[in-house]
Amino acid sequence: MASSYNAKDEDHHPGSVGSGGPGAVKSKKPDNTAFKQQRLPAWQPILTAGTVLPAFFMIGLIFIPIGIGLLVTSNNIKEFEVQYQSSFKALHFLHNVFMYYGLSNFYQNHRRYVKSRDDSQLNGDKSSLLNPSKECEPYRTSDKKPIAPCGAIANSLFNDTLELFYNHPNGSRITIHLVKTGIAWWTDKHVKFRNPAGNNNNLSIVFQDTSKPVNWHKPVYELDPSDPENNGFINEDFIVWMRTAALPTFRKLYRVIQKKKDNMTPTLPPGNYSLEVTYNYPVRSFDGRKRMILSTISWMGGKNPFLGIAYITVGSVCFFLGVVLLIIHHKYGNRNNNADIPN
Amino acid sequence: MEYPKLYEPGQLNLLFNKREFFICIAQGIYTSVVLFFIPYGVLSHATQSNGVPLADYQTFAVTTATALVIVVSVQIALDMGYWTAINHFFIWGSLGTYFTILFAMHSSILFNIFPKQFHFLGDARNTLGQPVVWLTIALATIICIAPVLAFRFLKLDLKPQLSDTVRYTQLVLQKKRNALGRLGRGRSRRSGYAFAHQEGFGELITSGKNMRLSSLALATFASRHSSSWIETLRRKKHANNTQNTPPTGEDSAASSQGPPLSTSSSAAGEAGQACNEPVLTHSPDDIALSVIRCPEREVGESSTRTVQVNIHLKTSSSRNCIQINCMQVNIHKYRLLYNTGQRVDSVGAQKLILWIDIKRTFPPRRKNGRKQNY
Repeated sequence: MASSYNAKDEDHHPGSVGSGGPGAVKSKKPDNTAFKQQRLPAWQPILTAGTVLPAFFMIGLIFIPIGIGLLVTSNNIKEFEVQYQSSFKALHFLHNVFMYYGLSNFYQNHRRYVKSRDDSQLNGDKSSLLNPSKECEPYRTSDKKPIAPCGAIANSLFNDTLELFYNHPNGSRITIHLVKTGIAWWTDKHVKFRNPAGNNNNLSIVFQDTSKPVNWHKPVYELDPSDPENNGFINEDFIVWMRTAALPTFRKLYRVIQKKKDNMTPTLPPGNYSLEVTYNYPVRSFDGRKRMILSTISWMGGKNPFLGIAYITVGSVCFFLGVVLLIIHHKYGNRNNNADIPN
Repeated sequence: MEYPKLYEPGQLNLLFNKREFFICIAQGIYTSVVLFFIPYGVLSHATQSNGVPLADYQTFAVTTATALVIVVSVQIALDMGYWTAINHFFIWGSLGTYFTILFAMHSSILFNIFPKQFHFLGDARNTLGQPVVWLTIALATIICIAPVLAFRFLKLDLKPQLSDTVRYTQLVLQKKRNALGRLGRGRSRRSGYAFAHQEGFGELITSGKNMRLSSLALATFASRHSSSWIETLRRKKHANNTQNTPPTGEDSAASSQGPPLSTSSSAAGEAGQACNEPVLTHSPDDIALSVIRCPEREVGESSTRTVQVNIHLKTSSSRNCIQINCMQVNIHKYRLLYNTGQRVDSVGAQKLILWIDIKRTFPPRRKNGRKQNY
């Protein structure tokens, strides 16, 4: 409908009294500010060929080198996987070597399993120690005493021990020193998990009214008696296990083989090695598999060719798409978009 | 009401119908699949630089959630055509709020108060400090946005809608103005005209440009599809140039052909002046357009010009609906010619600008040519 425009409103200033007195009608016209008259300064981007096509080419040109870099870095990482055999030949490692244990077909991401823990008990809360939360059922009490640590996650702690030996050519076996600290998240170790009463020393007294989890061989205060900073709830193997994995095939950091101080001797000199496994952890019941992995690390982490390949693929597709769009725009594009209105 | 044709997509239910809805659903499904499987593929074998694997459930969660928020923000940014300060504030503010809340929920303070609820302690800082995670988020964003960008660009390039053309026109004009050194920055200012997302014509009018409906403008404005009417127009315009010499140099929109319409005489009578004979154009379809122009007359200190446009429907159909995109703009106020037979008075105008939009942005409807653009 045609907009009706009253000539009287045109010159009516807001708030002007006109003839004065109480009879004047207040104008409903909004104030003449930039905000109320919708005159705010603005940036008006439009998708033109001049912006979109260079954007696609740039994305392609940036992503492809990144992908190549990631792929090259990943290929330089040496990884070694062993399916629990007794001996193998190791490669030439020069930096820190990380030892993982891997599990397959183990669903740490099961919903009920993930909920089965008591974080305040693991934080050292005294009341939760003796009265764990209901989420831990059925692993909450045993022998009429509360379980510490309670829950299904804690109960299924991985308890194989792996030892690495170097078979020296002269016949002797040298034990490789494995470092068991520094494998958990810093926030986990120092904030999230605390021993009850803040006491790391006399843990057997602190845990005296509790019982060990059903599937464990030893109670929680005997996880590492030689190191009070690694005993009880703050045991790093335990912390690593409690950080649930997202996928059914996962690996967790087990030990670190530190590089030699002189930076020249390889961390694991080439030769014959043997892995000794104390096989405690039962996986056959759920058709699971265990393996041990040795790997080096770079700035982007371990061996991960997926990211490099994905970047190269996406970069090439974007570049190709840019070329295709350029051809289409050149041939069929509506060039008469601009209205040249002459004077 | 400057461009009444811009309301047409709404009336024709072009912007939110079943097809558009399902396209949105399909895009949503595609985005969800990408946002799950890209972090899944990367993080399942990734480790931090200190050897700790990144494949735990909390890292996965933070990566996917952050990628989601970023993808959605980029999508919204693509949809926004007019970035005022308020838009900037809300978009960047939304991103900032997300990260603030994320870090707050993963902080040790909240964990110490409620350990069971806030058990994502340290996750945000740990996860978002890994370069692998940011590379994953960037990859997921590009995979989600690149098809959208390509589709939109193709749509704009091959089949621009009227609103896109208008927006582009204004941008080009504004750039020309700025190139003359007026403002120096690529900014536009809105005028208080009804179509809230477009700049009005206040600046344009006050700049003092006299815009004429020349054949060149007609040609550039028309799409490739509607050619016959323009060709007729051009030929007739050149033929009638000597006959109708408009006082202010306006072009007549058509030539005289055929019998005058019956309703046109009333206009001449009301104006009280010797108006021209109505000029009639024959349209290829069922609508005839005629334009009557009366010469300028003085009313007080201003001059007015009366233009009457008559519409004659040759065939009647219940679904026929006529819209005329013909506007007259003057400096102080504007009026829109909308219904047949209505007269347009321009008081206080110094220049009369008559734009008849003849661009056909889409092929006529299958049914019976509901909307005709002339």
